Amino acid sequence: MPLLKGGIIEDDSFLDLEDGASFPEGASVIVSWDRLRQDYALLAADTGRLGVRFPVDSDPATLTPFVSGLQVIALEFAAYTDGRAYSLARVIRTQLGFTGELRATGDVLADQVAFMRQVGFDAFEIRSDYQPLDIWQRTATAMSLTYQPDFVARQGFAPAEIFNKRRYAGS
Amino acid sequence: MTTHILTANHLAEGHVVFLGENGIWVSNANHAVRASSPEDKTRLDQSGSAAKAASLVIEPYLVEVEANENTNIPIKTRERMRTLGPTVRLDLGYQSGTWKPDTYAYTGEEIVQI
Amino acid sequence: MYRYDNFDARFVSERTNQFRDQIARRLKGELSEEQFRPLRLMNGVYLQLHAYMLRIAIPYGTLSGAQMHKLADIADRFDRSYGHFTTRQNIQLNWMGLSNIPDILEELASVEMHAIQTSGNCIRNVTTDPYAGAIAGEAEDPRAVAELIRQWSSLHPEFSFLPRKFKVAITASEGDRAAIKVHDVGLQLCENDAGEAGVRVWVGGGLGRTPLIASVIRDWLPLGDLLGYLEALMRVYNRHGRRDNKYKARIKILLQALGLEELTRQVDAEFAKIDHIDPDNVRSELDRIRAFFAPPPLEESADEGTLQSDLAENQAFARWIQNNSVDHKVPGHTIVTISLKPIGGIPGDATSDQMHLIANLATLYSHDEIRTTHEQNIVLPHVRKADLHHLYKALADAGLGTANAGLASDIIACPGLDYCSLATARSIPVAQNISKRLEARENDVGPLKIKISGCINACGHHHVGHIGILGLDKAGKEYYQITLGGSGDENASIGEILGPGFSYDKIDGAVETLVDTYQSIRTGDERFLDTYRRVGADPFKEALYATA
Ligand code: SF4
Repeated sequence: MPLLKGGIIEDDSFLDLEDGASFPEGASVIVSWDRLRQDYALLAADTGRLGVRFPVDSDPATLTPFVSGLQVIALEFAAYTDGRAYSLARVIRTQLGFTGELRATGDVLADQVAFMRQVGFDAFEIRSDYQPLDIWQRTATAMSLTYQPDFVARQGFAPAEIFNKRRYAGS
Repeated sequence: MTTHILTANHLAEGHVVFLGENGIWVSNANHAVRASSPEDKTRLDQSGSAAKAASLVIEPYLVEVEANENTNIPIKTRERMRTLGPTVRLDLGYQSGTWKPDTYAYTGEEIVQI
Repeated sequence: MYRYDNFDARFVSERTNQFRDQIARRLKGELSEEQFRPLRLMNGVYLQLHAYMLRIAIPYGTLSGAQMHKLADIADRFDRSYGHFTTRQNIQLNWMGLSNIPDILEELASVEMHAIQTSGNCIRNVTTDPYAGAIAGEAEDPRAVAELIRQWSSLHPEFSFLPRKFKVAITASEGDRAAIKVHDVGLQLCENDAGEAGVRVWVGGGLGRTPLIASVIRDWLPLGDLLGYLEALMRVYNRHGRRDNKYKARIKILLQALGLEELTRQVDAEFAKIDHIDPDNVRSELDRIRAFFAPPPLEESADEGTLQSDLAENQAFARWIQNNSVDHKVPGHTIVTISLKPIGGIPGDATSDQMHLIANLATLYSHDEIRTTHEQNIVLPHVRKADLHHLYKALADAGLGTANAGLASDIIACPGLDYCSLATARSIPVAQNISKRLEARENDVGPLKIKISGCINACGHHHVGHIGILGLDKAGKEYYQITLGGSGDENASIGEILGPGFSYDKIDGAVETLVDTYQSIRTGDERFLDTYRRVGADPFKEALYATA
């Protein structure tokens, strides 16, 4: 599936691995959370880059032992109205210190990408009926300001934060 | 046998509309086309889905009516109110007599105002 | 009043442009209705029974004269020349077209208003005491903290797709006029033993299908920690609130499921991990905001002008003063309630002419300040006693002088089936009938809160009415269930269902029977609620079902 990342739409270089499927040695794969826990040692040794599909109803703290070995954590929006992944992303970035790719999958819509970037997502799986790139760019930059302290996207376009600034600017 | 008509709200203007003859959406429920057979109801439903997909109306659905010679009176209070307006403001809505929102048709290519 | 700085102004204007773009994409068919619905809801646009409805935010119920004028102008230009003031201190316009809405939002932005988050599963407009900043005995003006929360919650990236809507109310008084105990979060500003400013946090109150009174989750929290604490609490809710059933999705159900102790533990544990909000910055931002809510320059004065002789001469005026005014904290001044409940009228509706008049009178007599109340009335908070008679005459001439604040005809009613697409029965005409029936004796009856909802969603707060009425649908007919003994104040309680419901034709008579019963068994100066609490439901049941 195409991936929106760093302002461009590109092909996914990871292989989405079904449970039980074997993997070509050295390949970059994304596995289920169950598989990761079962085969972590094997996967870490035999694959290239490694990612996990982490269920949004799980406790992110359980990811802690794996964080350093993961290049991608994928969180699924079962429906775009299901906001759990926003909180999970926030925790994974600010509390687990994960610096790899945080990928939004599932029902990812252009008008929600700005919020997703603010909580720490930096890659977005786009369904085949995706809208043209210019709409994704327009919606992602529609708001150039944010009230929330420390909810600023990590890279690329980031809304300006006011809360802490006001104190020093005396605005 | 029950009789139904198709209602929705106009996407851009918001007001209540009913599907009339020749694919034209109208504000007067009495001018709505009726469906009594399952086939006709399915056909009405499909017209609703098409008009929705064409971004002409939203939330199309069938409404059961009492079909008289010149009138379609919905069975449910809620639907009767949609054909008329609020019971507490007789000066508002279709019942006011001053209500002349345009009627609309979807020709398959574009939406034309009539 | 709070004034936007450049940042606030740009924020609202960008938001308007963003929605303009979204509407354009919707009209072109680039967004489906399913994709668009939450976007329009987050901007206050509903599809109601007859048309779109736009719900405009009135943050913590405060308006200036210019803002009220603007609302009236919008009602004239884009709607049917009236507005409906809601139980959440907002205003609704009922006959909207989608294509006009961007222009309306632009008009609103020109007077520092918006419709952001007046709907949707996000943090809604923060409500507060309509007497804020005017009544004696407050810890501080709660609107500064309300504004802080308004900004913090505006387009919060993490909390815009919650399991369900989230309502916050705040008060700074012991006497609770903001119904904080029936909100998802209720905040009570208070000092700790050392005299520091802080807040008590209530959680898990709410009405609807499962009415519950809130519990205290934090006895006292320094104000500098408020935003961090709210972030922790919202995160626990966002992650664990139920999403499989919208009737079980509010935080009150999570509280029930986990128990207060466990919820408290989880929120505290999350709060301990939040370190990115500097409490000093919260305090300094709060100070910046507080400056906007400095009290108006009211002169303490014993001069009442001709008030006493006017009262003696004009009985209607005297009754209005007795029912619709409350002492201001500054001697010589009064807090005035303008009733939007004319006898037999539609609760909470005001015409654009009335809105213009209220705006002018506020500028003349109330330091340009207007409040909306959750009881669907208007308050002018800072009126000199010497001006009261002029004010009254101007209001009465425009049909705004009804002297019924807090009485039987001051009924809360949601829009119900006349407007609302979720309704199961009408509310407004029921309120109209009851008000006509009880008007003549309401002064004798005394304080009585009648509240009517047109469906189980309880926008009319019927569970906390002394007499609550819930409109239902029984085999295609409207029918009404009565609850007794509810209250939304500091001694909050949920009303209890009395028995079988009544038809549309019988419900106002049933209410009259309840009032008769109260009048025949009350002792001393007991209010309806006091009598009910003393004797319980039985005498009322007997009267109602023996004669029915
Ligand atoms: S209580 Fe029900 S009928 Fe009344 S406004 Fe709310 S949703 Fe509509």
